[in-house]
Amino acid sequence: MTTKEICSTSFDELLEQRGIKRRDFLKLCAGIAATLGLSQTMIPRIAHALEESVIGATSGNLKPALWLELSSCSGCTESFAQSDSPNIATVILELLSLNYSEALCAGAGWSLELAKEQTIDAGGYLLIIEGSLMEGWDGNALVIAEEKGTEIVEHAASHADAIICVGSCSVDGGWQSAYPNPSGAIGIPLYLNNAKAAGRLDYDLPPIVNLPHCPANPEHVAAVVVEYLLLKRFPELTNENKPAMMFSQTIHDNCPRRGHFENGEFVYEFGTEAEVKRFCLYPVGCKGPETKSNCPVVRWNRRNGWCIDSGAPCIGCATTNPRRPGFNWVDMNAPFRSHLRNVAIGDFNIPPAFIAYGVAGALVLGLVIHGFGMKASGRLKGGAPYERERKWDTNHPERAIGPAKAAEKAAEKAAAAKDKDDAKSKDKNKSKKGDSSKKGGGK
Amino acid sequence: MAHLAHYKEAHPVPFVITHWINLIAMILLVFTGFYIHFPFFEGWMGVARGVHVFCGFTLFLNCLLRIILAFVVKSAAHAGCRKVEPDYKSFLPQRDNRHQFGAWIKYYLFVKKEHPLGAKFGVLQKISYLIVPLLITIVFITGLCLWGVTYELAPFAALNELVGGLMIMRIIHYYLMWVFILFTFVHVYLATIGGLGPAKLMFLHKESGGLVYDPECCNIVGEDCMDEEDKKSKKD
Repeated sequence: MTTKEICSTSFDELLEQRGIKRRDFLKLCAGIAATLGLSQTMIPRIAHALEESVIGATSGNLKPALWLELSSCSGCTESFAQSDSPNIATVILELLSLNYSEALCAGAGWSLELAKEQTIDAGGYLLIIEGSLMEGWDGNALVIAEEKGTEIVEHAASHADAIICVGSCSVDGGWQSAYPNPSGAIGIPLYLNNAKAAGRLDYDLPPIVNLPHCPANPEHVAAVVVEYLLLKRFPELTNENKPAMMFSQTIHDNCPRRGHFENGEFVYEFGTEAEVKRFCLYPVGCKGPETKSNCPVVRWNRRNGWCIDSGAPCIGCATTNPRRPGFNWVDMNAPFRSHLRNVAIGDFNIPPAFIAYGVAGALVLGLVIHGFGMKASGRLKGGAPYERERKWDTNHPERAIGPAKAAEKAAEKAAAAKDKDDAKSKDKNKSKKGDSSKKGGGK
Repeated sequence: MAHLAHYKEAHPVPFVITHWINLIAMILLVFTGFYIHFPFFEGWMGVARGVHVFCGFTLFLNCLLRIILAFVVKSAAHAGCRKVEPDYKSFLPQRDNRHQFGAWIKYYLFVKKEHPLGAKFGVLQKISYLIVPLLITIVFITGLCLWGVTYELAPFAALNELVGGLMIMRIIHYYLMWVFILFTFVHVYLATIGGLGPAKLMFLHKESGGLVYDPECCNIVGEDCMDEEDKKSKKD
């Protein structure tokens, strides 16, 4: 069962049925070309690929897709659904034959689960996953349609052509997996790799693309899906499986407020003149300098604006650590109004500066006390007297420094020198340099 | 007078210069570092970052230069003595202060009353001075990791990933700065608590008198009261 019956053989008719003009469709293709960084000459190819996908679909070969919603807030679905007119979301999803989506499908319950089962059995689908998995309480922290989330994902990944992890939760656990993570939330790539390593999966993992952000940027999702339809491959990925063209420059690099940063013009407090002037948000905890994404270029909300444009510091929602639990964007960037994350010592989260000033204060106190000790012990007046002989040598006469002979010699010499020394200290005014050794003497 | 004489041979001119460079670079690095961490007054971020990067390279190159000079320049490896040897020997275990690790700690904690009889540097001093170039190198590398973030030069990108991301690297860099600050507290305290003789030698290359030490017999053999003689000659 598919959720949408496609009853026309002509692509143009199909568009017409949905109230989309050919002109709007080409505009969409131009938008996709721009998002993918392709030249305008590629627009006909994109249009062709989309048409081909649909025409193929009339004979039942529309690329099927499953949109799994695990432990999520549906924010990514919502974000994607608000995508640009002329309705990229609608067109893309229908071009894709979205066979399962809790939020978007008209069907629900048993029939929808059946559709999912049939799609998985048929294979060759695109698996889009929103939200994290929860391993807590033996996987019972997340149960959908009487099935554990972990089992759903292991099953759904079995015949998928590719997996697209949409949103930071599915990439590395997101909010749910932030400290203390009682539900054992985990990102999809890490979960599947662990399952594979543990030998629970009897299939090779399909390629995985990570699209972080909270929520995922609809432009990113559309671009990746279309590139997959168009070229049957994913864009070049970073070592964290994020598309390199979207996630290899920091937000700071392309920020429209960067000039204010370099000029040293900052917002220190909200509601001030500096905020009105749209100065740099660095002192109020902007995480732009360590967050890699092309937000300033792609922007959000149909390219109307984005966080920093609307006056909010970046909270670093594109930070990822898909291989390392406990290091995801919430762990790394909270508290959001602070420049550095807190340092976790056991169950305590302490600002780094607090520890630094504490240790420095303790050290200064220690030195002051030591200084009083120096005064009390009389070391300040010319310092403590030197020991006549090294303590260790006194205790180990047979192993005193140097060959035994030299040590003996030295002892004699030292005794002689000490006698003179003592004599001199009794009569300080008569000090003279003549009695120093040949080496120590001259000026 | 119960401290050893501070002779010029203990601290030749090249090291006076490298020590000055270290001091200036570190002060500027710490100041601009705090500024970059939180710009506590407006208008200087571009300058602060420029100065920070410049001084970072200066400090590291100066550190390399100091290490090379340690093998080239000769200095006195014993305080209160003018006999010079290759400088690096001052930092390695010397005959004069073997088995003195415990003695020094006891001395600093007032358990031991008498000043240990040793070479130019005490045992703890040697260890801490050997750690400093290591720290400079590490702080330099972490700084580079934070500098070319987008450039993603392979080793730095790998290090960023190893520690768990740019935020962690920032915190490491931040704490390493504090290690230098704390080191400086202790360093300045110990260098000046017994008089300004060492500081004069370090910064101005001026000698001051004191006990004279003979490295051959590893013991104090007399006293050189150049200060008092100078005063005397002036009075006369």
